[in-house]
Amino acid sequence: MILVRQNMAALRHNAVSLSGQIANSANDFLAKMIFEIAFATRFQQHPFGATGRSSSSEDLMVAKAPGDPPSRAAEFAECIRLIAVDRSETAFDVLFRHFAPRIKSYCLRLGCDASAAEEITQDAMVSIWRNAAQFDASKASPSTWIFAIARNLSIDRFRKNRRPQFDPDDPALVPDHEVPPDLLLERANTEQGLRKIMETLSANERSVLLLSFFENLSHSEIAKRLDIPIGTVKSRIRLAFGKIRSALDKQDRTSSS
Amino acid sequence: MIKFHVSHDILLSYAAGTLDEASSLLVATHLALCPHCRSRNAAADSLGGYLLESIDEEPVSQVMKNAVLARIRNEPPAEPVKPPVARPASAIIPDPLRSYLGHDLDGLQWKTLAPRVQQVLIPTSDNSRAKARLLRFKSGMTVPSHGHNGRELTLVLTGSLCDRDIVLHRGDIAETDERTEHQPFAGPDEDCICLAVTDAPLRFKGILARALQPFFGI
Repeated sequence: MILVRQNMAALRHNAVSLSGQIANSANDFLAKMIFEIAFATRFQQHPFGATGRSSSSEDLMVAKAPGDPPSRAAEFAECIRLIAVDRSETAFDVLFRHFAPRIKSYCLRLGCDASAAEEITQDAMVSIWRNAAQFDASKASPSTWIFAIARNLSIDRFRKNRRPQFDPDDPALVPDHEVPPDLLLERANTEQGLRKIMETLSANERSVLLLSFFENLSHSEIAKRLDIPIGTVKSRIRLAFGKIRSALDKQDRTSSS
Repeated sequence: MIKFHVSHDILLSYAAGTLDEASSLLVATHLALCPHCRSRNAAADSLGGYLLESIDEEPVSQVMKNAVLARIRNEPPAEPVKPPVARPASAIIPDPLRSYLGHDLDGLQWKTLAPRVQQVLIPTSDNSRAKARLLRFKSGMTVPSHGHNGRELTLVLTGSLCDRDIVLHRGDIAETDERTEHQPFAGPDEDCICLAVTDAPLRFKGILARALQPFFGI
């Protein structure tokens, strides 16, 4: 219980320091208040260390309910930080309950059998534990970071090949333009923006995206499955992706203005 | 300034992890040269994160959870940062391509493919039909007119390549498919080196090029 209290204090401290960064721009006091209230509310809904009482059905409702409730991204980011600095099993438990069932589901949709799906899920969770210090909230949200871990493991284990990736410190890399700190912070909240964008997609656009991402189907296979021409598949992907991209551009502009 | 970027559908397949290894190598090498597409790639990745949030959950057994807990308790204390990777002070070919080749431009073993064209084949570990190779066209040289039996992706690394009224420079990507027949040529100033990924053999038009094709294996 003492550990739980320490975690709570750490969470609160982090919330304050994070809101401190927001406060560097305009409307500092207001931003700080809103952030603290939002964080405190979320915290009460999902107490740390509640023994084994899974709130998965509630999570499911939250994820699918209209009205865009706050995501748990800040809470998960804090859990990853606590794993990195304290090796906190309590924080790991929170991540496990939320992500392990989703990673397993993802692997099954990719076509893994049940035992391969469990194996990849286990490895992904261990990888989260092992690499927690490398998580950078300014570059990706927790679910994006964890998705990338699960994706890379599944390519490695299930398809038995490599996924080439660029090296951000390579001497031949063309660097990003200067990025203001509040833009970095904004990127950490991409997930919430995406949630809104996904709601503006038509059911058709969304179904194409889901099949492409989670069932490992090529464009021609998606075309066959949905009984539509391949050109339509490509144009739906283009439309959906264009919406995502333009919304992100808008987000970039808003945060840098 | 890069003008010709990786297309939405290829970038999306790369983010989803469904793109073959050779094409992924080309995309990742383009990302090293193109901040704009790195931002698009981050958006595609976060789409994966969003979809992971909205996916139906599959029950996970307590047995499995215990197995994971046992494993993390056996983990050594965390390394605070990644161990440093040895990198050269400068390079022309960016990673990950340089690692696949084992060398930067200097150390490559070029094989003559046709007069004024050389290549280095790049092995990949998957058994996809997509093959990656580095091509070097002598400056000003014209590639014999050819068509494609599948998709071809070309990423320019040095010099320039003129293709159907456009000029590609370092970092630019050309994407062609079955419908494309073209006769690209290298710019006059320096040799053009590019990474080419094909998922089926090319169809050369000229009799001589067609006769020689089996010997060169392109």
